[in-house]
Amino acid sequence: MVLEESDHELVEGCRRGESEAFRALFERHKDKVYSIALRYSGDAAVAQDIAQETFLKLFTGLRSFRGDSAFGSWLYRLVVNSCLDQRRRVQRLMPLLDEAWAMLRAPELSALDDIVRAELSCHLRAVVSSLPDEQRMLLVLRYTQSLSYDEIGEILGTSSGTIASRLNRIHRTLERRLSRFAGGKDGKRA
Amino acid sequence: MANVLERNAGLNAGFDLEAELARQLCPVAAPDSLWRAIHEQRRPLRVRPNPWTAWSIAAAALLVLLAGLVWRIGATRDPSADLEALAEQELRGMETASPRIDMRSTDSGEIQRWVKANTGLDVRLTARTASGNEAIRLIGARLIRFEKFPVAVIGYRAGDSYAAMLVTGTRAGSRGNSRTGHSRVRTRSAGNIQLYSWSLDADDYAMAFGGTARTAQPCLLCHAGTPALMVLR
Repeated sequence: MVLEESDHELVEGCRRGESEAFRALFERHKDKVYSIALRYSGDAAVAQDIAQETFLKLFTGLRSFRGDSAFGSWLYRLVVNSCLDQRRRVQRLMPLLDEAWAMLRAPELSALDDIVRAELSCHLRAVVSSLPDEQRMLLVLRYTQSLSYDEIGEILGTSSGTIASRLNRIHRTLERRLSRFAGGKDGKRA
Repeated sequence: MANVLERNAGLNAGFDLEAELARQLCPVAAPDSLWRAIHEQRRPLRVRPNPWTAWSIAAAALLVLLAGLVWRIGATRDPSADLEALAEQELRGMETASPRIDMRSTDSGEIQRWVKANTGLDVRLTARTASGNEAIRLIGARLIRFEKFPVAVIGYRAGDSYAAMLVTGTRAGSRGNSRTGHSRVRTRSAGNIQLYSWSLDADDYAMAFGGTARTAQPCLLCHAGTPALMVLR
């Protein structure tokens, strides 16, 4: 995640009070910010609030941004903090996926497989939603932004080894809970 | 449904958790309304001046304002009026049953020395003792402060009326301008009290005495043997 020169130029433009520079910076990073907010919160309205707050923080905090750190990492930290702040303010969980059904359908699967997969997807969504905030954010950074362990570690202020360990633990938790669901219906196990 | 799930409980074989997570958490496009929402909230980015500079400018502006205000008050204020008001107040105190006197004496020389010792002011009292000057009968003197400057109050009777003469060197600016005679003489009435004020030898004087008619009799305190009305010319 190297600081791009164009980001540098836009940041400098923002510091000089050029509104076009801020607009360009927004256009470049809006999807990234909104995606993290949406996947973390699971709610479009909340995601828009988070994204809005993030860009306002970005706008007002550009003067304190030092060029010696990566702009991307700084922006990620802003959105992560906005998400966690929002979460603290509004204690509610919403589903993470809007159109899981359609995306999960595979033409080669049988109708029975479709049903099973859809059930598991719905429960995966519920299980992810029930994870602690920090774990959920870790999943979002990893799967929404496809960030490496190093990059996530830089954003969250920890080592890549710790990130790998935590992600592994989260995976095992998810698998365990999904297995429990599959085998726990009606008190029976396969 | 439960039976179906049970039959497929070996989900690890057909269910790729990471792929499923990537699908469920895939990126999305930000709505168009986002920019508008941000744009409406954000304030124009301005190049802020150095806060210390801003504070300095604000402090300097405040000082100028205060200085102007003080100058304005000083310019419009009449110190003579203040001293006259003080003289009126002292006269009323003199007329009470127990007048406030620091040093009781009927001897003009003794009062002059006391005033000199306590204020550094030279007051030239020409009136003699009560026995030697029937028009003026000295009561004594007292020391007060006016705007941090000492003011000597000389209490006496002029005929049947009480009188108080105040002298002070409050006007630092006028010091050094040797005056040969009375200047800035002002006379006015306040009910049944007559008020005179003037400057002499860089000192300010005010006199208050009871009576509805303007008279030069109280001036005999310092002008015994001279035509007092000349002072009020």
